[in-house]
Amino acid sequence: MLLIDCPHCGPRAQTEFSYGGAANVARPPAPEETDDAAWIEYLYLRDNAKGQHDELWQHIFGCRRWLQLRRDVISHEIISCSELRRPLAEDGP
Amino acid sequence: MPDPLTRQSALAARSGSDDLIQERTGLWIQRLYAPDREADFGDKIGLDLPGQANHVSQDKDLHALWVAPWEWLLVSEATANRDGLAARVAASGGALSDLSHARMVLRLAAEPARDILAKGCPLDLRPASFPPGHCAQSVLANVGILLHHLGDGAHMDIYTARSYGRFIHAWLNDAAPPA
Repeated sequence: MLLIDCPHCGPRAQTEFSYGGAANVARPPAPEETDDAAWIEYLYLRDNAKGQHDELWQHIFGCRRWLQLRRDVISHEIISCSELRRPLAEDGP
Repeated sequence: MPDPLTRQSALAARSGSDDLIQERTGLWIQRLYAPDREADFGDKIGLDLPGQANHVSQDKDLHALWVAPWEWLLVSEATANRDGLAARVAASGGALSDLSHARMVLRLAAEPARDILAKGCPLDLRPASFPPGHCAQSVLANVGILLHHLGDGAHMDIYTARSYGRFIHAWLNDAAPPA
């Protein structure tokens, strides 16, 4: 169980949150001109890299706000968690 | 001639009374939305709104519970003379949605409530973390709830969607220690 420090509500259990996928996947700017391979890449294919990972989470049973979170997928350590901003900062949340 | 639409308890079909859990009925409940980052919104509409997360403010019989940034739940036992509020909110760019019929509210004594809720709610309910005058949204038995520790310190109110009312009521009774 992760303990996620919601920037609005404070530290809360993972069960209050809903996972929203990887945070740094860029949507192709012109979907109608994007070929199938690139679209499949965008929709389904992820790097699944070891180490730190930028993720989207929504505090669905709390303030309902979307959050961006940097998490180590090996140790489960949460490095940072903040309100979602667009565009994502290069150096993470 | 059809029956008139009178307000009924979410637990109306349930029989028997209960000393442990009381349902609060007939409440006036509104969710209030302010325009983002409008710092003096409370002053504009004439309400004392808590700016700090998870805090509750009280003005006579009207409670304002923080539920999200720039969002509050307004709760009162009196429904009269609130017409001016909707107009003031609209004029200030906010929004008000009526949840009076959408929520079921249960009141428990705080002391058994902590132990009972601990069986199905991940919140830290120790007095140091959840003191009187605070509220928090969380899950109870996988159902979304809003918990309000009343200012008197002796009671807690549980808000849940009316459609989950009977389930939450039954769950609480089941989790309660035997009398």
